[in-house]
Amino acid sequence: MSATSHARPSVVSQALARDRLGVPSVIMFALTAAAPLMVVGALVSSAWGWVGVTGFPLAFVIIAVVLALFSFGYVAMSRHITNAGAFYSYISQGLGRPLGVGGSLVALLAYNLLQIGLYGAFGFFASVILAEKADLTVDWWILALALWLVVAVLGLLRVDVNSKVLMVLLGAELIAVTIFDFIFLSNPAEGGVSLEPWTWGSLKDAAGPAFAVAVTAFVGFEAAPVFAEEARSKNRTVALATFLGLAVMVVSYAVTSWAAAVSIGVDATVPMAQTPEIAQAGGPFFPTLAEKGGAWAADLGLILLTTSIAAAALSYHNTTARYAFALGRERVLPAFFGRTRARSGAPAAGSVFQTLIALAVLVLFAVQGWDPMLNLFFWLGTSGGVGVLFLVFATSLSVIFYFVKDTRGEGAWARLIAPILSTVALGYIIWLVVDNFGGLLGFQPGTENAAVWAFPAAYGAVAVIGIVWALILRVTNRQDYDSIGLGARANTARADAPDYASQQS
Amino acid sequence: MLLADDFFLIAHDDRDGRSRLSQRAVELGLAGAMLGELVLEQRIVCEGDRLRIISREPPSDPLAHTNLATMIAETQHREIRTWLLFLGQTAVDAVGQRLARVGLVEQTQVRRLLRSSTRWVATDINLPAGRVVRLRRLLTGHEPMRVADTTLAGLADATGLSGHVLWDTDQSSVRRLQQAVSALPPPLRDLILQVESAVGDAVLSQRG
Repeated sequence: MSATSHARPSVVSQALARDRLGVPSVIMFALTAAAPLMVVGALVSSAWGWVGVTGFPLAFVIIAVVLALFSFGYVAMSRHITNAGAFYSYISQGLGRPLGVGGSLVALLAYNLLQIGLYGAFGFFASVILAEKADLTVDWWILALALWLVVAVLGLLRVDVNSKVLMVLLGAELIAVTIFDFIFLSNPAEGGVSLEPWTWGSLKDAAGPAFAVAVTAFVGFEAAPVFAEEARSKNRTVALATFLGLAVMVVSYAVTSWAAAVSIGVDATVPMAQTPEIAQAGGPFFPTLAEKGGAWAADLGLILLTTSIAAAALSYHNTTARYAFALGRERVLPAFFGRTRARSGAPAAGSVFQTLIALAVLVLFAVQGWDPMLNLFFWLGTSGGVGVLFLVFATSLSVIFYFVKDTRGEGAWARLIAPILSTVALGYIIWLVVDNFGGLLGFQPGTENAAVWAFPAAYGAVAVIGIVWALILRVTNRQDYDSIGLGARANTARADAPDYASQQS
Repeated sequence: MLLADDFFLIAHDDRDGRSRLSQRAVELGLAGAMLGELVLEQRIVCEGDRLRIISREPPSDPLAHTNLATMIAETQHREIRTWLLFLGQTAVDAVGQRLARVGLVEQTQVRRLLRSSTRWVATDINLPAGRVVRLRRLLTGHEPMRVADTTLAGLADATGLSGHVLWDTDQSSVRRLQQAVSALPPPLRDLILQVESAVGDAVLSQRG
């Protein structure tokens, strides 16, 4: 800023610079979105059977390239807007406030689905561990409710898992995954190490569903711009953190999903994943790991997997609560969502709201006896990922429109070329996903099931509700409408209206 | 009583001196109150998200004097947000020491696990409670509100303390508070809005 132009160093600038986040903290935060064991051990392991292809390594690479293209414009725009942590701020300021509100409700739904889905996987894998190690039979939903309770309390106390703790967990996961990759690749199935999972041929039968799974795996890559205003050298830090996060994710996800398929046998993976007893055990990943690497490897993997899921559940819970908080400040949601719990400063109403939704869903699944892995983890999780895909697409489009009005000193690549390329690619991926949504949920083509249209329809419905609500606000409360997309700064925009003058007269 | 002193007493537990708010919220509230003192003393005005110095005459209070002198020296920093963050860094100790000099609070060291932290505990337990009751009486409409009182109430609301002050009252007191704040002179109203949005940004960016 202007501090450099002064001969005398500014006391204020120096004091504030000390308080800003350095490059390592922002990178650490961005990296903790990666969860290789959860993605391969739970998500891909289930997806082999339900989606029915092995081409996930290629799907991860393609999605990573598209998201990296997207990130150029995304990071560029994050430098210019307030509330840079939320997709709907970008949409509000690029495509207009009605679409922004629609996007905000899509985001709330998507993050809720992602968070609640994790309870299914946690309950399932924790009950597997208890059954094998302690010979205890505990229903998945009891363990899921235990985690739910912990998340509910920590959310209100505003405990975020310390990013250093998350970094240690991630480091342990990455080391474990590397060891597992070594085990897998040195014990290939008959036929040796096959490169087939990297080819389009192994993906084309269900490319849409596989892309949806891959996008779900990358959720969290969008988090670094939260620190756009807190980072020491924000131009470099946020971009570096975002790209590094994507790189770590794509390498660990793609290589591990390839190595595991090689070890199971590329041709045998899908049939094995579809046999009932393997599907019941959460897919072929851990059984194969136990067979090829020994029980210790599978045990280590399962323990790291459950801790990783628990940490992610808390992190998504807090994300959802903060989203509701920002919307409450903007009066898109009722104002009480914009209040904090005094002692902890937690966005209390948002936290309780997410907790109650999760409880309702968990009770419903427990009472109905639905499957924790397929119905809860896989359906809700990947549907949440699809919601994020819609948001990324809309945000990508927003970047183009935002910089059309004013280039704001950004280069043509970041503000125009990369966003256009990513918008086209994301649009095509969305078409593939929606066209074969039944395939994502594990149905044969042409199957009639309410779930096939219910998830996409739910996104459409909340988007329409949001747009209508924004249009109502525009007519009834212009001040609130004008402050949409500003997050916590909504109040200052609202005050620009001549409140005081009118009361004086 | 000076604005920041009052805020300090309300924002801390009257018995053990523990903060009733998250650390960042206390800091921002106290910093806002220190700026508010300078606005009330007619040394600065807040206009939107910036402040302007209107008089360089040193205020009688040494802390306010120091704050104003820093602002005069740092001509390049006129954003209210910058000053809230800067003054907030030292606000708890600065205001705590000011209260300690007149004997209203005492400094105590609290040892918890490995870290020891400083707390400021009121020497007379009735004083903080009395300040809360006084503010509450004002907000429930029992006494006329002065500009300084409304500013204090506005800062308490912006930082999340209004639940503590208005613990069992109905919506009419909350509305009365909001109306009083929006009818404040613009320099004070803008200051309160800046504090509120800074507290909200701290929630969204996950900083203490």
